[in-house]
Amino acid sequence: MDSFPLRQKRSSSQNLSALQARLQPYLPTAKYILKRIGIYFLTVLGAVTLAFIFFHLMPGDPLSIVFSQLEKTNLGRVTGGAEVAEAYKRLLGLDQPLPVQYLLFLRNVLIGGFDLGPSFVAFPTSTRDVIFRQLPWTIGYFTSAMLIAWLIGTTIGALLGWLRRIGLTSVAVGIATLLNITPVYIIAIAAIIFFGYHLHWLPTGQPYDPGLTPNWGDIEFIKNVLRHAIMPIASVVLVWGASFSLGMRSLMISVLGEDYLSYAKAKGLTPFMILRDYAFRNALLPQVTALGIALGNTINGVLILEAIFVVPGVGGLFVRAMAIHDFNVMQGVVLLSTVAVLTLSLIVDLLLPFLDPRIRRSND
Amino acid sequence: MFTKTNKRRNIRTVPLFIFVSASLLLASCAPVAAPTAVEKEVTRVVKETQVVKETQVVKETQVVKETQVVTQTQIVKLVYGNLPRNETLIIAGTASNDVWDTFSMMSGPLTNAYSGYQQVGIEQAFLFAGGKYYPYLAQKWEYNKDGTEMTLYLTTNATWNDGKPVTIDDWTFTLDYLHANKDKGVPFGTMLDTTKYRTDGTDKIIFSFFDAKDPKKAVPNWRFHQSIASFVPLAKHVWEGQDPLKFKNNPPVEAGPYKLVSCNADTKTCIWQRRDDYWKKDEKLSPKYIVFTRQPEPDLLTQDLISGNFDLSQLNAKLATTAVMPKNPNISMVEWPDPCPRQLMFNMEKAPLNDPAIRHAMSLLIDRERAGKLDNPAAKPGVLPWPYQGDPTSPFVDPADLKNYDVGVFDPAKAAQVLDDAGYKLVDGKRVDQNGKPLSFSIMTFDPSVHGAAVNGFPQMMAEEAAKIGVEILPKVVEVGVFFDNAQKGNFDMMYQWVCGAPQDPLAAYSFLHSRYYKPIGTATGFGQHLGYKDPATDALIEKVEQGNPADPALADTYKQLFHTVTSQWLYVPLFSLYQGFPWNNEYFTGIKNQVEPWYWMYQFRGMLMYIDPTQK
Repeated sequence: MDSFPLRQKRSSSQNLSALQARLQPYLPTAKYILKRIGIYFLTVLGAVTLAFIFFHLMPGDPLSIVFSQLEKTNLGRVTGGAEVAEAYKRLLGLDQPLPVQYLLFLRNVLIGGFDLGPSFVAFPTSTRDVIFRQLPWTIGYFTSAMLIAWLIGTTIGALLGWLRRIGLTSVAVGIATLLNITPVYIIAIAAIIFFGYHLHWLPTGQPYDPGLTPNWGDIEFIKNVLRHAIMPIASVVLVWGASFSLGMRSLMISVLGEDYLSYAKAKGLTPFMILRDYAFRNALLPQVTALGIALGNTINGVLILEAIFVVPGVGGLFVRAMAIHDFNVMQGVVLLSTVAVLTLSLIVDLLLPFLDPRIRRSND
Repeated sequence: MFTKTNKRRNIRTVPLFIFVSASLLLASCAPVAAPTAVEKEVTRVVKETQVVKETQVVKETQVVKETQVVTQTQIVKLVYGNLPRNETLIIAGTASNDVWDTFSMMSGPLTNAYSGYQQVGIEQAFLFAGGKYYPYLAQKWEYNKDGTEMTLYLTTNATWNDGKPVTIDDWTFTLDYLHANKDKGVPFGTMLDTTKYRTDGTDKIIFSFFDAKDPKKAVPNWRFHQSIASFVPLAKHVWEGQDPLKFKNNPPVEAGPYKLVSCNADTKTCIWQRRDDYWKKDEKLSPKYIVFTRQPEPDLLTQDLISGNFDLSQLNAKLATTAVMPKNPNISMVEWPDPCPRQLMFNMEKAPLNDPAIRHAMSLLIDRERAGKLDNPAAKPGVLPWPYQGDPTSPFVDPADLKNYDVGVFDPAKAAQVLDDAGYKLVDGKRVDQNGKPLSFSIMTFDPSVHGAAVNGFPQMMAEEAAKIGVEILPKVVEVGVFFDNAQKGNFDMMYQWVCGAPQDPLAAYSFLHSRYYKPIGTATGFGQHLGYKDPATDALIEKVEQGNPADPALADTYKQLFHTVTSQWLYVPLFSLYQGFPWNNEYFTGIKNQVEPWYWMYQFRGMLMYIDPTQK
């Protein structure tokens, strides 16, 4: 009986050591992940705070302006413009001192379920509702377009790099360069005029035919939405795909000069295996990082494309909110955008150790 | 750890994803059934001729002659689902507020002004269009002798679009409801602060006016009809117990001639259908459907107008006349005078702009005709602060003032002379004040995309002319929000503005000069602009006009004195009238008139409906 606790003590100590030994290889990765998550939260807080301060430093008091101008011109049936403006300031929480507004903002976001109060631009719809109403369109159009652009661009870029000595690739590189430097709105407008107005092949704008009632269970409605999405997505894919392909081609060319590729060739591996397992994989890492950042930025919407294709996205909402200093919506969009960019960067950072063993083994 | 098989499997997902994505896109592209997405051209039986059957019976031989049943068919485009294009008026605009599920006037200017709700959904007491009041939910008004009471005669046969009658109870409920919620900034919320009402029978409301500081003291209010004209009663059975700022009123229960079919936030499109049970039987309402939708960017809107996709839109006149009209002969321009002629305002609290001579000289440096032509080739120099058609003759203006004070005159040489006479001498090429300080002023304007090229053109032209006589003028273009903020707080020297006087009663051209709106520089006036002007004599004139009856010819003299005050002291000076005109598509609806103001963002839209007829009978 006496020996049991001793045995147990010895046993736990051994178990602990064994556990430590087992965990040892994962410690650098765990440290890396914790550090990245810590940086993530600090960056989110910093970005949101800065955005809050900058927005409130913007000169102008559009609430007063909107109402007083309407009073002056007797439009909008407004009487007592200044009093009405004050009433709306109270309603929107703009009558509080700035630090109080900031604390309320943080509280409402963190424990209030992203409750940013009423919007001004879509009054009386709440800011949360108006942002989440627009967000699926932005993600559906531009995030998916960016993913497609990345997949196509990266694949083509890898092939262009691999086949760099074939003359025909220089033509492809020329085309990609031309697309890369062409503003996306030029391509979009040209596509609309040609495919929309002249050939009548595709709709010229809107997310779906205005006469339709949204019904995501109806295949005809989904097909209609997809038809409307072709031109906006194709515009992004052409321009960003070209950009990704040029980036990937450069990365491939730099990787192709490495000694380990000569070694792989000397080992007798097939060119396809060398491309797939050695060159492409090593060149892919910076492309993945670029994708993370690009995807995050699409939350802001490709503003000009939203305007051209009359897409009800978050970018257009932000522009309208800016015009009338709708702080609630502006802060909501910036918060969402910041979190999206940083979260995607975090995901990419967290994926990197699994894609690259060098990061996994590193202490930093 | 990844195994080799896993690696292969992972890498195979990439081409698989590309294949699936491409297949989806191709699949969605495949069945193109219609020439365009918006307009589907299909055959639709519109009208059938009567069946004509003729039989001749002849004895013995029995010859029978029979005419076949003939059915005439007419090809009609269907738009927005299944609306016949020839019965659908399509309005394209730019929605300012993104509100598509709330139909309420309670949030005033935050209402979406382009959904059609204000244009065809609601019904007002009166429609003021083309200088006339047309009766709708009210028939007429009568003031008592001293203007301290007004009797409003209500329309008794009006109905809400849910079939219930509009009664005097709805009116009184609305008056009380709005007053009870005045803290929420609802329209007409403060009206009962200075007005009492009582009812007489089921069709009369008598309003009496009193002094806010002394409720027992009756005061005249001869302009009450102007504000009550735009009063929109609420359906008591719908609104009772509702929070005015949260209630969505969806679907809208209103007394207007069109009923909402659908309103979509994704496509920013609202469809309205003419009420079969509309109570005002003599109203001309040609379109069976009216669609309000969001217009695309100008380049694409041009294409839409060439294709006849919209009947009315906000394309600017230059693009409409040069790019659209040559390609679509159905398009014509609808034009009307600028309701708010543009003015140059001075911050009269800042020296030396407090000197009328400086303001006079500034006025003489404005080449109004040239500046106006930047926006409109037919522009004329501005003279009056209310809309007018070329001839500035008005009962409210003494023609001698126009001549004596160089109203609308461009004469840089005289400007130099005026400055010389006032002691602003030219020293080393620079014009200086009595303290030797060079004359230098800024002119604040904003983004030209908001109000057109002339807005930023005139300061540049003034700067060029001013430089020739030794005065520095600095054009200062700022963001719109900054512009209004500076305007309210007096952070400007001179600025672009607009003044919206009414030709029949131009009080709004002067009321903002009253010292009740005066605030020191840096303090917001709450009334849009800060002129730093205080003058008891002007206050008295404004108060006399405010309390007077605009229909009384004697008031014209007071108005003349006010015009004299403004022109003789150059309190503000005219610039030009901005071009007001939009392209109209006559293919489906015609009869639109110039000067009608097809203001499709407000109730004035109804004035336009009075004129249009279907083109295709």
